[in-house]
Amino acid sequence: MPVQRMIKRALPRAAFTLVVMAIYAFMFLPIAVVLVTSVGASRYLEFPPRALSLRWYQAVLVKDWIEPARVSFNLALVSAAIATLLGSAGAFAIVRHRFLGRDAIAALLHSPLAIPSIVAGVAILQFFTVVGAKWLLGFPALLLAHAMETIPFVTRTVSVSLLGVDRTLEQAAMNLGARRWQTLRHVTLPLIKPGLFAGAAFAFVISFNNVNLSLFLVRPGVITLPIRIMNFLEFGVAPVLAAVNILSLAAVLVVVAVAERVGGFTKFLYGQ
Amino acid sequence: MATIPDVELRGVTKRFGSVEAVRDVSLQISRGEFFTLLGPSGCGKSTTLNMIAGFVDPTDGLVFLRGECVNYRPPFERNTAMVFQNYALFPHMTVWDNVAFGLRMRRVSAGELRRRVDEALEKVRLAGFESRFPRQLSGGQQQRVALARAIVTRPAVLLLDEPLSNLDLKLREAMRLELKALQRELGVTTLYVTHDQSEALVMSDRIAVMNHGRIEQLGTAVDIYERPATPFVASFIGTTNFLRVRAVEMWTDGRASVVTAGGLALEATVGSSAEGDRLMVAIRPEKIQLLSPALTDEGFHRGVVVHAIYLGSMVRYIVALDGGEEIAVDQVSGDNAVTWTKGNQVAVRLSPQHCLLMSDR
Amino acid sequence: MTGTHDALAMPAAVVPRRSVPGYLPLVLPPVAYLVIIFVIPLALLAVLSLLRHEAGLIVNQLTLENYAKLLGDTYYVRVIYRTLGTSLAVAFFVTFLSYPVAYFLTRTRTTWKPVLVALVLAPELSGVVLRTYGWLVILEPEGLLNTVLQRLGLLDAPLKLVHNYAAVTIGLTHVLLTFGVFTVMASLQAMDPTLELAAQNLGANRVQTFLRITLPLTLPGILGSFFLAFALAAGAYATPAILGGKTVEVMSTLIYTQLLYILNWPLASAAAVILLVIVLTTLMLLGRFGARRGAVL
Repeated sequence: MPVQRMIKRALPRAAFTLVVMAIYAFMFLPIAVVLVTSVGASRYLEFPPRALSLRWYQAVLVKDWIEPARVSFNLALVSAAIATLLGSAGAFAIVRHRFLGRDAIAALLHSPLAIPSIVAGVAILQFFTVVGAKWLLGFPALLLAHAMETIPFVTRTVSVSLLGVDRTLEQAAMNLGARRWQTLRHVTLPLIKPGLFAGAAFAFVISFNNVNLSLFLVRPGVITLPIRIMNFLEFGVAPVLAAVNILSLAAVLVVVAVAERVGGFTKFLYGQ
Repeated sequence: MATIPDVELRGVTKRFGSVEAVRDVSLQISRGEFFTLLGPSGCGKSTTLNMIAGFVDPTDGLVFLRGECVNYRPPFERNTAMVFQNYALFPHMTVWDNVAFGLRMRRVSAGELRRRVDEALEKVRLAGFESRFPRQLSGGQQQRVALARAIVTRPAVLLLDEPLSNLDLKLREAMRLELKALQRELGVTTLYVTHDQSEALVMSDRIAVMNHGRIEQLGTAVDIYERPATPFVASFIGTTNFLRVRAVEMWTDGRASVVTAGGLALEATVGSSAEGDRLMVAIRPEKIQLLSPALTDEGFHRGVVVHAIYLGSMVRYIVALDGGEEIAVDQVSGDNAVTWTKGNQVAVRLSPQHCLLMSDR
Repeated sequence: MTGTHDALAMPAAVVPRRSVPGYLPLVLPPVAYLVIIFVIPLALLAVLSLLRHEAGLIVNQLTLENYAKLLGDTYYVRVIYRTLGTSLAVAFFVTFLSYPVAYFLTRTRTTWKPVLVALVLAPELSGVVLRTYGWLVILEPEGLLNTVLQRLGLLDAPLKLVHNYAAVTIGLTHVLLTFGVFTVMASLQAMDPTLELAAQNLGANRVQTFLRITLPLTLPGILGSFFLAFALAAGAYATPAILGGKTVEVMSTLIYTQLLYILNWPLASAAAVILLVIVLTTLMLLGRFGARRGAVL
C-alpha cells in the first residue's frame, strides 16, 4: 500500500504547513487591511472599498501630518546616530577590554531593555521637571530618551559583530604597520559594518515607531507621528489614518533599504 | 660581536598570572638565517614569536631588532612581518589590496607600490589572482598570499607561525622546499615556529627546541638529532631508546663506563647535561646494529626478538636484552623484507659513539 | 652561542606606555549618558512614589500611602489583576502561535527561507500604532469582521468586538508575535537536529519524538518567549489605549491618566514602580530558568 502510506506521511506535513500559513496570514491581516482601506474612496470606513481613490493620500499632505512626520523622521535619524556612537563605544569597551566592573557596565548598557519604556518615560518627564529643565521637553527630551532606549540594541549587535572578528586580523594589520586608528578604519570597522548598520537600523525603526516614551515628552507644536495618530484616534477611525500609516511604513522601508544598500546589515541577521 | 644580529632576545620571560609561559629565553638570529623554534603546543614558542612581533610585552628581559631595543614598542613600529597560522587575510579586501596593505601603511609611492606588489605576487606565483577575494582561493593559495603580504614590506625579520599546519600532507611537503628556496633567494632573516620536527630539520639553519617555556637545546639540525642534550630533545625529535643507569664511571676523554638498570655494561659518550645522580643512556633505533648471534664477540649484547614490525622501507625489531630491558632497533628492509622473526636469538651492538649519557630530568 | 645573560639593565627608553587605561574613553560616554538619562530619573521616580500627595500638591513627607492605596483599593487591585491576566493570556497565545512558525522556519529546506524569515521581521517595521489601527478597522462595529458576518447573514446586529480585554489580547498577541518567533527559533537552532533522527531510529514516532526530545530541549525558548511577551505586554500602552478605549484600564493607562490628567505624580510613580517590579520579577524568573536549563544542556 505505498500510496496510502505516502498519503499518511504527507498529510500531517500538509496540515502543519497550512497552520503555519494561517499564522502568517494572521500576522499580515491588519497591515493588508490598512493598505486596502487607504485606497478606498468613501469617507466612511468600508471594507472592501466600493471605489478606489488616492484622495486620502492627498489629504495627508497638510501641515498637520507633514510636521509630525518631519519631527519623527529627524528624531529617529539623530537619535539612531547618537545611540550608534554611544552603543558602539560601549560594545568596544566590554568586548575588547578586561576591567573591574565590566559585567556591571555590560548590564547597565543593556538595562533599558529590561525596564518597561513607559516607566522610563514617566521617570524622564518627572526628572526634567524636577531639575528645572522643563524647557527640554519636545525635541531635545525626545532625542535624549529615544537614544537611551536604543543604546542596548546597538551595543548588542556591535558586540556580536566584534566577537566575530578574528583578532589575528587586527594583529596582522598592526604587524604590517597600521596604527591603532588605521587598523580600526581599514580592518575592524569594515568587518563589523553589517552589525553596526543592523544596530543603527533597529534604532531608527524603534525610535520612529515609539509610543511609550514620546507619550510623555512631546509638547504642543512638537509631536511625533505615532502620538499624532493616537490623538487622532480618540475621535474615531478615519481612512486618512490608513494613508498616514502606509506612508509612515513606506518611509521606514526606504530607510531600511538604504541602510541595507550602504551597510549590508542582512549579512549580520543571517550570519555571514 | 662582529655584526649586530637581526633579532636578539636577552633573558626574556613572560608570565600570564602565575603561569610562566616563557622562561629566560636568550637567542640571536643573524642576517639571512633561517631559525626555527621547535616544540610541542604550549611550550612557549608562539608567545616568544608574539613578543618579537610586539603583540605581547615580555614580563622580563629585552628584545632587540637590528640592535635596537623594542620593548613596549607597538607592533606597527617594529618592521617585522608575520605569516599567521590561519593566514589572517583580510576577508573584505582583494588579494592585491591585502598585499598592498603594508606598503600603503608605509606611504610608499603609487608607482613603487604597484611594482613591489606585482613583484611579490610574481614571487609566490600568484600573478593573475589580484582581484580575487581570499575566500575564492584554495588553502595553499591563501598561504602564498599571506607570504607575499609579509615579504613585500621587506621586514627586518619574517615571522612564520606554523604556516604550513593547515595544509594537507603533500602540499605541506612541497611548500617546505618552496618556502626555503624563497627565503634563500630573498635572503630574509626568518624565525619559524613549528611543532613538526621534520619541517624544522628540513628547513632550518639552526633550531631551538623549547619545552615548558625554556630552550632545551639550540643548534643545527645535525647537532640536535645526533647529539640531543636532554631526554626531551631526544624523544621529541625522532625515536630514542632510553636505558636507565645504575652505575657510572666517567673518564676524562668524554667517555663513560655505564651499567644499566638491567645489568648491561656499556661504553657511552658523556653529553652536556650528564650531571646529577639520575642518568640515562639514549640511543636511536637506527644506530643499533643487529647481527646473527654466531658473529658475536666482545662488545655485543645478546637478546631475543619480541616483535618484528614491518614499516615498508624499514623494519623495527623490539629486542629483549639479556637483562630484561627492551629496545627498538631499526633496520633497512633487506632482500626478503624481514630478516628476523619473533623468538630469534640476536646479537646487538650499541656503539659508544651513539650511546649518549644524559641526566634524566 | 646563546645570548648574553649579563647586563639586563633596562635602557632608559624602555618604559611601559599607557598611564590611562584604554577602556575609559570608551566606557565613560555611554555610562554617563545612561546614568543621567536613565538611572537618576528612575531613582527619582522611586523617591517620588514615596511622597505624599495632598490637594493636588506634592508634600515633602515620606509615606507608603500611595502603595497602600494601589494595593488596597479594590479598583486599583482589579487594574493590577487585569494587567496580569491580559499579559498572561498574551504570553500564552504568543508562545503557542510562535512555536509552529519557528519550527517551520528552522526545519524547512526551501530556498525561500530568508524571505520567510524577513516576513516575520517585517511587521516589526510597521510599528505598534499601524498594526493596532489595523485591528481596529477589522474589529470595530462597522469594521471588516462585522460587515462580513452580517453580509453572510450570520448576524443581525454588529457584535461589540472592541473596547474590551479580548480585543486588547488579540492586538498585543499580534504585536508581540515577532519576538516570540525569534526567541523560540534561537533555541530550535541551538538544538542538534540529529537528536530527532536518533530518537526515531530508536523507535519513537513523530509525536513521541516531538514530546520527548524536541519540546524539552527547546523549553528555554518557550519560557523565554513566554516571559518576554509577558513583560512587553504588561508595559504596553498603545494597544490597550486604542483597542481598549475608555472601558479598559491597565497599569500603563492608569499611569498615563494619573500623571497627565489627574496630575497625581506620587501615585503614578508608585504604579510605575509596581509595574517595574512585576516586569523585573518576570525577567529574573526567566534568567533563573535560562541558567538552570543552560546548566543541563
